[in-house]
Amino acid sequence: MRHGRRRITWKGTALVVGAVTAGCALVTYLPQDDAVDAPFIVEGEVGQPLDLTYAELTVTEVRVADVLTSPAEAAAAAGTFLVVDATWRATQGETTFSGAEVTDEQGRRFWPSSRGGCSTSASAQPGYAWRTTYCFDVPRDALEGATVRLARGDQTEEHGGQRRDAVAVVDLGITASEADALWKAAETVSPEAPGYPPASAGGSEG
Amino acid sequence: MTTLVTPAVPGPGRGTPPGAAPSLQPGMLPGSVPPDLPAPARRRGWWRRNIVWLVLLPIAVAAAAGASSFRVWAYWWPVGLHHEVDRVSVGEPAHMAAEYYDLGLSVPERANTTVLREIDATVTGIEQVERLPPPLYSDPVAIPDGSVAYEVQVHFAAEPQTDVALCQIILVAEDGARYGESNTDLLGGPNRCLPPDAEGSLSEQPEWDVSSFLLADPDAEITQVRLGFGGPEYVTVDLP
Repeated sequence: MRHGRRRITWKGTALVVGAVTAGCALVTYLPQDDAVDAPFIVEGEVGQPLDLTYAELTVTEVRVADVLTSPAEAAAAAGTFLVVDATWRATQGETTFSGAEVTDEQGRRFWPSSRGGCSTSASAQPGYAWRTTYCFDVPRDALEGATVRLARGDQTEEHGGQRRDAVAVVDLGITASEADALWKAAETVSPEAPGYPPASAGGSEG
Repeated sequence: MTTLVTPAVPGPGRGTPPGAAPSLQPGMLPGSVPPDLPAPARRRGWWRRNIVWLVLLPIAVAAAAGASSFRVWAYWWPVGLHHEVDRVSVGEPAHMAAEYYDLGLSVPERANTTVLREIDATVTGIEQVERLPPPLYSDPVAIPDGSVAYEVQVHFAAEPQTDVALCQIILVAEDGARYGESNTDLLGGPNRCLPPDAEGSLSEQPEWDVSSFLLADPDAEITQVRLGFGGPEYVTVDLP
């Protein structure tokens, strides 16, 4: 049996300091965020329905506009507005889709504008499709190869709200030649208010 | 004259001098009797020595988990339907008695008090409809393409002036999908648990009937109706 106080030894001190140092090194240098927090990316293209588990998403159309008009205002773009029409269909429960972002080939990120009656988020329940129009004010060199990233989690704090969750990344299909043509075109777009998609043969009116 | 020469005492660390007995301990002269050393006590095992901390460890873990789980009851539990208080079949009354914190928006006298809401609800019918009735105050609503509409008929009984704000009438499908979770009425009515022409969120009669319409997927197999007021309590009505 030991008596008295334990002595602090060089060996024990080195063990503790080494363990702490090793722990700090692991946390600092290992790609922990990529391994633990990475979202589940579902890639697709315009017109393709994407299954995000909590919703089905389709980017239905992509346009550009110099000016957005709504009953409340006419908004001119600093660059050009990339207008993305999407349709959400929730599959589990009432869901708010907070994440919307355009990324260009250089990795620059552009968040949606609420000007001109555009939406920056959407909310829907299971049982119906919900059309939403997002508008992104982007410079000329951001058009080519741009993708739109849509999810229920928001993109603030380096996509913090999208950790371990499904995220759609849709290639907008804009080539270099198309980018030039889109930039030169002077278009005015009036975004439709969020709502049900246009009725077709299946709908009935009361 | 004879001179006695005493051999030098070997110091510690110098090793045993040549010729000395191998059993002689350092620092002892030849012929000395070593003292009786106490036999070393058998050392207790790690588990025995740390038994107190081992007993305290699960208690500390439980205390830490409890202290850090305040978000569960502060944020998650009050919002959403988490506590089933009654479960009945179609045509049977379900009783819900649950307390809520009243902000006094409908009855100023109840402001900042905890109020017991007691209400009986009977789902009297649920059916798929081809058309939606015209809303009281807005344009006709069409059933969107790719959706079907259900009408849920509910009979309520409660003391007049019962606050039914945040009323939810939800259809639950076999795959767990929850249709009509919002407390906003499909036809624009202010409250799904009150007649369309009601003002505010207070009941006026001891008994009344409502019809609530909601959209669902065409292939959904509806198995339950859930009634609640924002949660956490709710009642379940099983469909045949």
